[in-house]
Amino acid sequence: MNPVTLRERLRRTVGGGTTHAAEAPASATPRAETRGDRDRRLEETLGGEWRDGEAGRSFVVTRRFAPEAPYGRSRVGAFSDTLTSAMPAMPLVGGPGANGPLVFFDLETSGLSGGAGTYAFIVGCGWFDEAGAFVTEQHLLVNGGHERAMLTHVARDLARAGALVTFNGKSFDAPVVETRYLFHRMTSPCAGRPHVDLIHPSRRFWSGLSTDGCSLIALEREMLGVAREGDVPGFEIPARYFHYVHSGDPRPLTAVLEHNRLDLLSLAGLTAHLVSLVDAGPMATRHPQEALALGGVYERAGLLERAEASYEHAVSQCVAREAGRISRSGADRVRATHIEALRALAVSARRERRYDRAASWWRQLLELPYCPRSLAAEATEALAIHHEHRVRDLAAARWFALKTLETLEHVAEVPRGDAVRHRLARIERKMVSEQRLRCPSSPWLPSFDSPTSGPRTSS
Amino acid sequence: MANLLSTFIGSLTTRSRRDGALDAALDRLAPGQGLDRADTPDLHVTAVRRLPAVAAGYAPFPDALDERLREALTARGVEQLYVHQAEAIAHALAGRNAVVTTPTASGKTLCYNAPILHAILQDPSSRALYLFPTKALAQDQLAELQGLCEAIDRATGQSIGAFTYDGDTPQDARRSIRGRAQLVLSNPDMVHSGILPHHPRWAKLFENLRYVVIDELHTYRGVFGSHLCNVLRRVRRICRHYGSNPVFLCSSATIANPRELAERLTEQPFELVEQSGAPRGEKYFVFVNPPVVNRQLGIRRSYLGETRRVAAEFLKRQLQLIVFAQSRLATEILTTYLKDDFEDGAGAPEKIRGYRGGYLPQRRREIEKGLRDGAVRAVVSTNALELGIDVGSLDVCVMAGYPGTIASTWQRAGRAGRRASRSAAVLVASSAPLDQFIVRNPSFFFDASPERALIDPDNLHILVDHVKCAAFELPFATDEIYGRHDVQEVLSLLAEQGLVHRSVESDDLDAPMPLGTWTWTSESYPASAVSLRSVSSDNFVVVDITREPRVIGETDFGSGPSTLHPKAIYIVEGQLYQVETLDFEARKAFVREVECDYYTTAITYSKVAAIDTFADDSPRSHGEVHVVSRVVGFKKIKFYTNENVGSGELDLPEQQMHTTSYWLTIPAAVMTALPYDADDRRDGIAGLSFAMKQVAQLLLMCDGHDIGISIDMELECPRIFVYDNYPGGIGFSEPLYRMHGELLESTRRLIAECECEHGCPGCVGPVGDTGALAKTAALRILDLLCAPALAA
Repeated sequence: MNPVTLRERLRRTVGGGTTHAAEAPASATPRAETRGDRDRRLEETLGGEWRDGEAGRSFVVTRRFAPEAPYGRSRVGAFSDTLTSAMPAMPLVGGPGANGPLVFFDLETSGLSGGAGTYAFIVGCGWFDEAGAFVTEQHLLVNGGHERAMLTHVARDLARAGALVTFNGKSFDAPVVETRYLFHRMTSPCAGRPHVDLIHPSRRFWSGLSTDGCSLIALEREMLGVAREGDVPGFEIPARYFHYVHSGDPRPLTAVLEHNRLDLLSLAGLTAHLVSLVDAGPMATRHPQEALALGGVYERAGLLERAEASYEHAVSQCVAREAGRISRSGADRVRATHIEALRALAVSARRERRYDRAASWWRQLLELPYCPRSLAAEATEALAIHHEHRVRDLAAARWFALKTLETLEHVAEVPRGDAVRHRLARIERKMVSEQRLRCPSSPWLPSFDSPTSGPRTSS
Repeated sequence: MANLLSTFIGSLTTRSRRDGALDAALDRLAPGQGLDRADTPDLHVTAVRRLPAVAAGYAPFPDALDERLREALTARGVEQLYVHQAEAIAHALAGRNAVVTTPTASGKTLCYNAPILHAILQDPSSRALYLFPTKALAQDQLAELQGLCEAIDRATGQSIGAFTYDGDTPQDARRSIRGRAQLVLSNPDMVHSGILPHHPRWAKLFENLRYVVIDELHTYRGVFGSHLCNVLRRVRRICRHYGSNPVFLCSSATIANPRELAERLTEQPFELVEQSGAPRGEKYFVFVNPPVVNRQLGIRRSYLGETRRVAAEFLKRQLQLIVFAQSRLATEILTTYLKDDFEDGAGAPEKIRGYRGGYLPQRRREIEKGLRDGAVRAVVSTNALELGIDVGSLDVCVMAGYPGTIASTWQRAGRAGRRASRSAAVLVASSAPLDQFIVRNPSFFFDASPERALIDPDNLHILVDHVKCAAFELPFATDEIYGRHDVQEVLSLLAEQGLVHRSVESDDLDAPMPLGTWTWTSESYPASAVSLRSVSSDNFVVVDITREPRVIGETDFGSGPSTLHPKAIYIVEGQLYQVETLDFEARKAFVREVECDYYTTAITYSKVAAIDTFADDSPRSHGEVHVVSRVVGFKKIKFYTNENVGSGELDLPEQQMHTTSYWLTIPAAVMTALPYDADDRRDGIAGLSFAMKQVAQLLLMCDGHDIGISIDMELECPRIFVYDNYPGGIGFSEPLYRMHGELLESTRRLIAECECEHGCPGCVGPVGDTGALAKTAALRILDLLCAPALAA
């Protein structure tokens, strides 16, 4: 078929606006531009350089943020200092093996859908140099043909990393990068390298601190005091790259590179902040939620005393805040923290076989007027067990078991209810036989339904 | 020893008892006639054919076949191969693509399982991809494969990983399957949207892909087949990227062009294996046409009632049977009838079971087992049991209505058939035109199948969609070839839409004609917008507003107006809905549940104009056409009797489409030779086109809505268009042009042999719709067309 008619048929059958029109059609690519022209334009506009390698040339933009440069409420050098001094605490956050040097890592991608057609067009890497400056190297995919070369250079950057640090990288950046290396039948530098995804600890430490969620932008504003000006919104980024690809005009990328650099620097700042908290302990926290999250970090690392101290600090901070005046949303968060901290204390005390202490935390939890039913059931059940087996106060045990049952009825948890009924029956059997031992002739059974005869009898 | 002997004698008596019962039942159906006899198109039983028993043809295992596999097969009772298995295995081992067309239950699966397991035993890194048209079929085959793999494991200690990978595979299991599966059982839709776009994660599979199995090849025709061809083009591109070149192994029901279809779908040369070595018992095939109860209107006795009567003859003689119905509703009705007749009421064991899609898997397995062990005496099924699923061998198959194609009729009939005793298949025709044609022209069915599975993978709509998907998966090279058209032109168009960008390799930038690639430059995931079941992604969604609004279905754009017009009856899983409003702009139809005893068919006026004639050999032509159609009204048709019980007018927007068409131009000489006035001539042509559509549908192996007819009376020489009812065409027109002679001759037979007086739904259309002379005039036109002097 001759191409003219095919072209006409294509237009007639499918050309009618099935997709959006490109900002700049391919035909606008300046054909006359030579390789030298293009190279120079990129270098001049973006301030980067071509780097040679065994798989070909790749374009890299390098920047250095001096130690004395201010960033938000702090300085770049302060992040470096903190990370250096607090580095021993890093494995507590990122798991064993999460040692320096840290390489901060962030991608700008052609889309979010994943799959073979989603690729990274900027691979940003950042680290602190010996002078305390923050150095970024951003690998730009000049066009699809350069990807293999780019990935080779990226692998070299990442090879220096003791651990990678990302924000949401475990779910997004790492899989995208791995797919690209697989695509080219290359070994991914992410494979086997410790990877700390800051989004998970960030959520535990700081979710709810900002009204617009737990994004990197929200966190840098709250935690670091950074206010970006003229930042490119994330959804606009792929379109800017496609515009560059179709038109050859790199100017729209300047702001994208800047955005990516600030992401890297904020990621470094947040990491420093987090690691310093973990290093310093609960007294350095500014909010009970941080103390609670800190307790979790220590507990997972097996540092139980520090964990307990953190939880207790969280509880005391909550008590203090509840006594003061706080906003409605703030109050909700403090209450949630209070509940979780008490539960964490009770569970860890029980695990360490300090049963009386555990019972006392459970009791404190029950006394909170806003204690949710599901937790109240857990607490009363634990107390029933405690009184049945440790204290051997069957009357109190029975009272707590009844209380559990009553609470479970509200939350309609039938299977758990069966277990509790089973326990209750056993307690009552024991009570009858004890009664018989004491005064075999009497069929009397005490009535334990009144709460006054309940929990305080043995406390 | 004595025990063995009595078992032997027992089996003999069972066999002869069964044969006797079958003979008695057949004798009741066709009383007083010899079982093997001449066709009698006008009688109640129009044909009885005896298909003689066939002895097995065995062949030894090919020498090259892995010893361990042979042992495992022997352990499972396979001591030698049938000749077709040996032939197919030999082709596969030699790296030749092969398509096997042998009857149901002839051991087709071993034809591809054996060479694949051989390859894996020889090199455990080998991989194979199996494609099944349905998920249920993949599940069933998995069970069989796993049995074989376990036998190999027991014999050799080598474990082979076989897994299904489809929409039902849990997310958390997917990663491990990608790593461990040596045999991946999937379907074309999943490969299209779930595997190919993520090929880097499947690198192991594509690097080591030795075989691709396409089971039930004949199901990939028309739109679905055209899509599959493109999916396979993409599979082969990705294989080239990873350096593999798989062999294709296909199995197909009997159609006229299995090798051609395989070669078109895969664009590879094929060997055809069609000589079955599987033994077969004697089988009777009976065509039943319910008698006419109203000669004037051409109305026949209900075919469901007739099916009930036929099934009862077998059931009461203790024969085990399967009844196929054409819809879920008909399945339920027949199940109820037979339960009423043969079950002892509540609490008694369920001897009669229904079976259809939508039943829970556990229930299905229970019915399948009941059939194998004999606890279930009869099953009434939709086409769900037509393909592959193992239910053992039954005595009788009764089909309520013609299954639509000769191939599926044989497949369903193959559900009945024991190796050592007699079996029977009975087709009970409904009053639908195609049913009537088949039962009255038995030779059409029993002689070499005229059905051709056709595809047009280069339909531009389909092609462009897949080029997008392919560009997403792997950049196109600027000298790459894909499909029949110049893909570089397609890519230029996509570049104009901003979807791809042509970039040159960095070091070739200054070369005069630099080679380069087309890179995907869009955030979208194109596979999610392409359905393998329709031509364009534009569609109407159906919203049920009986209670909380919810989407219950979708219809492609082209058939939206004719199926979702206001007051249309829309059917999902046997539940009827009536369309309240059709929001054309928003592409939404709002429906409400109703109870009624009719369905609707739209009256569409279409006007076809020829744009470009590809070939012309008077009076036949084919080419590109422009179709303007408008739904102007609808008819209410009563279920089962197909009576017209009302109508309505509609005013819907026009739809336009470019497609391909065959057309018949009736020469002026023929027109002037007709001894009728203008209206009657017109009726004759309308009647002729009605009948031609039925025959075309049969020759093209397609559904009624796949083709459209239109007549143009305005010219001196009127034209009848039979066009592909899909934008861009789907490959029917050119073959129809080639089959022109067969088309006219069969149409003439259809009309001439119809026993109605002035036309009926089985030939030129119901009398109410066509004039009193339609039948006579149509026949006259055909006679004149076939008279060379006038037709020239």
